[in-house]
Order: sequence, then C-alpha cells, then structure tokens
Amino acid sequence: MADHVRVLVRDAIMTRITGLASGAVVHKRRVYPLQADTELPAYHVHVESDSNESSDIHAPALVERMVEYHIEGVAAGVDDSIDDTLNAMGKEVEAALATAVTAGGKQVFLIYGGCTFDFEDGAKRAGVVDMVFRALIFNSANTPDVLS
Amino acid sequence: MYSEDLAVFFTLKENGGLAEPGVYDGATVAVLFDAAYLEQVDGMVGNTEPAATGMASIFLVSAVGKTLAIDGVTYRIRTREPQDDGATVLMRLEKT
Repeated sequence: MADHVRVLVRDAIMTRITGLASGAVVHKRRVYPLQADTELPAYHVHVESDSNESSDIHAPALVERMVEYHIEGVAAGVDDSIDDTLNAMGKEVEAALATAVTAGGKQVFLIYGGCTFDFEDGAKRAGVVDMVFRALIFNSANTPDVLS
Repeated sequence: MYSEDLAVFFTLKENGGLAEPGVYDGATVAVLFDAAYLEQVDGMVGNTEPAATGMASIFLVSAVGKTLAIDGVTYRIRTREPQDDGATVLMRLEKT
C-alpha cells in the first residue's frame, strides 16, 4: 500500500523545495533540535491538520479533504541579517510552490495561507518563518493512499 | 567598613579561581564565562547562550557593541546588565 495521500503531497512539496537557492536542507518533522552552527538553514515540512468537508452519500464516499501543510524555514545568523534571510527563504518557497506539485500522478495546487515569524537570541540569533499552505485533495474513502 | 575585593572574585582558573582570560579593547581582562545549552524558537534550534560577567569599571556602558574574545572565539557584547551593587556587569554575547 502506498503512503497516505497527505503524505504523498508532503513528499512532493519536499521534493519541490529541495535545492533552492538558500541551500536549506529539507526535513520532515524532527524530534531533536537542529544545531545552529552546523545544520542551518533548513526547512521542516509537516502536516498540521486534515479536515474532511464532503457530504457524499455514495459508498465508498468521496473524501474531500483540506490538508494544511506547514513549511518552517529555520535559519541562524548574526546582527539583523536573520530577518532578511528568513524573508528570502519565504520568497523562494512561495515561488517554488506557485505551480502545482505532482503527487500520486495527480496535479495538486497549494494555496498560500500566510506566515508568521519568531526570533530568539543566543550565540547566534535563530529564527523561523512558518508558512502555511493548504491543498484540496480528493480520494475514495476506501483508498486513502490514492488521489482521485 | 566593608570593601569589595573584586580581584579575588575574578581570579583566573590557572590561579585557582573561576575566571577566564578574555581580550577586550586590546587588553587581557578576567571574566566569568558561561555558555549554557539553549533551545531556541520552540525547541527547533539547539544553540548556546554565551554570557560573561566582568568588572563594571572595565566594561563601561560603551562596551555594548564591542567585541570580547574568549578562548579563541570572538563575541559581540549585546547587553550590559549591572548586577547587585553595580560593581559587576553581566553581558550577553553573540558570536561575530
């Protein structure tokens, strides 16, 4: 059985944003922190939520899911350069995802939902730009690994 | 009358104390240095939080923005926070 449809799309997002100009390494959700001196810049890509809004009376039902993906650009720097770095990372991701990604043989469009920033001082200033993208994905209820 | 002897407080490790030698404004000065582990931005980044305590008579208000080198690493002094009676200051550091 293939991966869940929301994972197929997540992986397509990861592929699309790998190798962008920032040189950021792309990760799934991580348990342990990225090390400021050696592992940044980086992107985290994960599914934040998945909701079904279909009202299908057929069996198996057509699941109409709105999946919310978060792409977190993480970087560290000195002085005030971190702000520019994170904005550049946000720009390259938005541009990269402006066209549909291909997942499970289907074209899936991602809708940009905005972003938030967070910064914190340390030996290097670390910051994150948390970008939200939403995708409308369809699948048959009995095959959550196949996009319809 | 009580008078502070800060020289004792800032005795270098090599002489049995707790202080490190640092280079500040072209001179070698004694500071108490700490670089504890720090998790930043909701635990996404692992880093350190370097800080040094020094004599307020050496690290004047104008110290903020200047560099302090400790053990071969150069830091920029980001804050100067007087401690207790003001004879010492805690400085938050950032790598240059």
